[in-house]
Amino acid sequence: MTTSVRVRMYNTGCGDCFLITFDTDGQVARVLIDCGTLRASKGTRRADDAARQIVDDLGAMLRLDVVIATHRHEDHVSGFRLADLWAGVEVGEVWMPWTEMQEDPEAIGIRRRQTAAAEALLSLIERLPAADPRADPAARAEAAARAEAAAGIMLNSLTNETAMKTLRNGFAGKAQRRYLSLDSDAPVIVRAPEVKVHVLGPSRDPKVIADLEPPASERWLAASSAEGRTRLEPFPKDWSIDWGEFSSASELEPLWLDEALLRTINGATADDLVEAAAMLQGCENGTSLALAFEVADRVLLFPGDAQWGTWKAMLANPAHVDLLKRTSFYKVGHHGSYNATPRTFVADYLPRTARAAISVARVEASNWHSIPHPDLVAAFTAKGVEVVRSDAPPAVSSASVVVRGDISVDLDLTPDLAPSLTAEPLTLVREAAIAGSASGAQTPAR
Amino acid sequence: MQSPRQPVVERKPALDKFKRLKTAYMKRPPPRRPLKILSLDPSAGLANNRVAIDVPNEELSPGPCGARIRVVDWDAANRRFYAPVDLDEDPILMGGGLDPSESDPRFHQQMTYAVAMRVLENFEQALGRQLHFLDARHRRRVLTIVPHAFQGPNAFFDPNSEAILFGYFRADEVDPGPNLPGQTVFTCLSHDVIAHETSHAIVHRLRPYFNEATNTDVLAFHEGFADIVAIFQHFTFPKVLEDQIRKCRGDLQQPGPLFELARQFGYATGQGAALRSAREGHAPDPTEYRTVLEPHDRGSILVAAVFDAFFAAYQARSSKLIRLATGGTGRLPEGELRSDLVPLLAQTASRAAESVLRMCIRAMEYVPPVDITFGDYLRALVTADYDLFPEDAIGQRAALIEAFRARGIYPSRVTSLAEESVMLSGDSTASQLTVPREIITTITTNGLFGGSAMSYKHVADALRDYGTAEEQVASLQLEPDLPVKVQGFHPLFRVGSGGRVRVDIVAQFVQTRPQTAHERRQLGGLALRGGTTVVISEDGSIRYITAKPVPGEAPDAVRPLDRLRAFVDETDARDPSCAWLSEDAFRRRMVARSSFRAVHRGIPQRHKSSSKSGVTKP
Repeated sequence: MTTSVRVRMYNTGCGDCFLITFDTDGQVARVLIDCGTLRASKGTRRADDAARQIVDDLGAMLRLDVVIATHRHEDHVSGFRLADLWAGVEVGEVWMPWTEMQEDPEAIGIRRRQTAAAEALLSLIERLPAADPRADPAARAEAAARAEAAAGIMLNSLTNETAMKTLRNGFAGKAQRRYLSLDSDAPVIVRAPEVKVHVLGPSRDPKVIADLEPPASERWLAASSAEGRTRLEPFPKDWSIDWGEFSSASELEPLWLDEALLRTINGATADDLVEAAAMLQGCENGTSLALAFEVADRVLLFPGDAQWGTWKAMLANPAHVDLLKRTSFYKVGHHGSYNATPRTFVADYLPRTARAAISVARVEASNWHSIPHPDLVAAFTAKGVEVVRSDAPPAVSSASVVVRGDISVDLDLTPDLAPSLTAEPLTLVREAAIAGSASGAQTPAR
Repeated sequence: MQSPRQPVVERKPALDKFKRLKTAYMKRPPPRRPLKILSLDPSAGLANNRVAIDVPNEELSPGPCGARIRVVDWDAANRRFYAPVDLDEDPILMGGGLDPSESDPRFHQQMTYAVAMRVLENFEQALGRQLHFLDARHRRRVLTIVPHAFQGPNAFFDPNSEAILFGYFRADEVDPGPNLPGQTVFTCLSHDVIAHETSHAIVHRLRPYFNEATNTDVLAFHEGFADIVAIFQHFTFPKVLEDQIRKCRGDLQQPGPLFELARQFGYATGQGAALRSAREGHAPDPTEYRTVLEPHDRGSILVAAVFDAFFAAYQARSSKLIRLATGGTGRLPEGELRSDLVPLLAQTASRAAESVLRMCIRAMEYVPPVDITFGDYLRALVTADYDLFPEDAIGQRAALIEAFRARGIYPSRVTSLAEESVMLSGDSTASQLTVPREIITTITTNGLFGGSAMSYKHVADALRDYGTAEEQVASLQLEPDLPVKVQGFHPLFRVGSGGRVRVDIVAQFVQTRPQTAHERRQLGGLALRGGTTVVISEDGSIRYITAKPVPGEAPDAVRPLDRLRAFVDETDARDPSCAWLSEDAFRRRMVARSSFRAVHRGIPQRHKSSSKSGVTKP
């Protein structure tokens, strides 16, 4: 029994879309992990393009064995809203994190609270710059900048319900839906029985789940329902005088405030929008379905956008650490953001023979400037790990990395598997050539 | 010792005809000024909610504006300045201060002034010296309190402008809890919040590098210590205890009633009750110290440990009294007997609280200048207390060591938990050293009679030369190749058991290793600092040192640089904002995380707060 493994990273700009193909002596299984693009992505292609390309590439065999949606963020699911397109694709199973369960009260609760917090926060962000007509222009500009920064982080938060509907009910054939957690029975890819799938997260442990709760969701909820944040006047006006009178009353000189202190006080009013937005994104990312595909002693690691909670549990579990140490392919979490990949993983466990893929593009929004983070990319390079980026694929294809214009990049992982198995690189080149000619002969080199 | 400007009793000119009335004795002002504060959160109602306290009398101008603390009532949200209170107005003096009022901003100014002054006084009495707030160049400056600075459920100390800013907010913006919906909640009307923030300001004065988070205990120490000061100072008001004890239906021999009281105070001192981890009947859990990382939650472990020691002290002092009063049952009978014994019990608890508070504050003299851990603080507590009271008469110290042990807090490199092992060693190589007589004399004299800036500089230079000299530098665990800064020095005048007056000198040496911009970025803006606190006796011999050498590359360094790097990595991993930082913010992320404003964000939150991943947000 020989297995060849190929991972195709479809270019969706800032978003994830990966197709794994397992070929066992001619029996082919295809696993699609995510298909989405961030609205503000400035890449040349988007998830809709990738979705159509996938259908094209599948050709006559319009079948996917497994479709996986790691979490409901737009940059992972937006491509699934082309309901009609997907209605023609036969799907064997759809895997999602347990937090997407429709009837589980805990899952419903988490989704509800996260969505409510996101909506409240977004409405707050919209209202805030206009909230204070009496504030001076500098303060208003600052408030607007903060609101913009928070909005930039929140780009993902409102998912696409059409996409989720497709995942839950769409596709051709009677696709079996599985909602997975750390405690689930390991799912199986029917047509690739030698592949062992490990679910590394999300957990159902209440202590870990606490990280999925929006921090002060009630506060944002209350604030948004109370017609925005109205100014409080703690004391009647006749108790006070304005700045002009205050600073011209020389008897009050011992009470005058200097520039620095005044600035500090004015800055204290700063809303914690940006922090709340970051935390909320972290909560939502924490629901990511994190998977390891183990085949012939090597591991393909797909953590979605899992955050510290999931990683911490992984690193504390000897069985999982063992998997991490045998990683041949790592889909870099959260488009290469600084701490979605723990330092200890790269420094201590990721083998130097591994290959990492970062699916990302430039995003025209503040706060996305450090994604991917140069330090993380440098850490991979320093280790000797080969990094393939969707926004800057290699100029020339090689036997193991085949670039198809700006459509996709193929990584042949078969040579990395245990030496007893053989690889068939010719198949890949042929497929790529066929695909290339079918969509207008895109040259591999750019 | 210099004192704040003293007011002089003014008389109407006609009375000046009477010579006797012009004598210094007659013109002497009263030493204390009575003021009123709220004893509990205003949501408990204003009716039985006042405490009359008194603070040292000083010359005040409207604000109130004193020599070391001033209150400036500027509201940035409304851009207004509220009328400052003149505490010298006759009606206010006659009433012993303004009556508590939520709607009169002058009462808010009075309360913040009174509580802050009381905190300052507690520190000064425990430390045996006068404290002035200083700027970066060691010049005196005034602490500014802004009681209605901004709209928001937060209050924080800003070290750069030496100011404490209090926010106010509408009750239904957060979980209304016991507040009336729509009510305005003033963080400046909570004794514990005021005391907590003032404590931060004073700790920052004593140890300015304790807001550089170089390990998980540093910020937690600041929070825990501030909560300790707030709670135990609150307990020193017997009236507050009386009310609680009187209402108590429980067994007075159990910690319950006092816990309950602390919990009632405390939602405003942090994210939830400071004593949340020390519930009645809940045995201390040593795993918490290993797993709890968020500064307030971690700080509350420290508070709980000290509370255990306090309760032991209280029990030792009150057990006989309770036995007599309750016939051995521990429960007070109904009726007359109650009203006699309640004040006695309250006084006892109050004195026990004062004794613990003093011990906790005194320990600040014996902590290193940087990188504090709970273990360091335990050593300082035990050493400071032993120094003054060698006999542990009521077992307070033993209870303290046990309480820390039960929570898994051990000083590093200590072989046993016997008191003499936990104490700072009096037998290091440093104890062979003798500080030159001249330095001792000058410091003592300046401390007693005041010294000039030049004199201060002269001593600082002399101390520095002494510390860096070849014979001393290794014993003091300083790096020979780095410049030494004398961070501070002062005499400690204390009266110990037996009434003996003792003079010691405490000096702090600090060193900073320069870093490249790249190295500094790796550490998120943290400086590489080390330092040693030295306690010198009046004859010049060095009694104790507590040293934290500058972090070093060598794996066998006392403070390995790798451990600091790992701490930064861990903190990064747990911080959701980390993904979104600009390059600028990334470069100083550790410093930003240590800001008091960041750490205090979100108080008070009464609803079930999931203890988050434990990171403060930049």
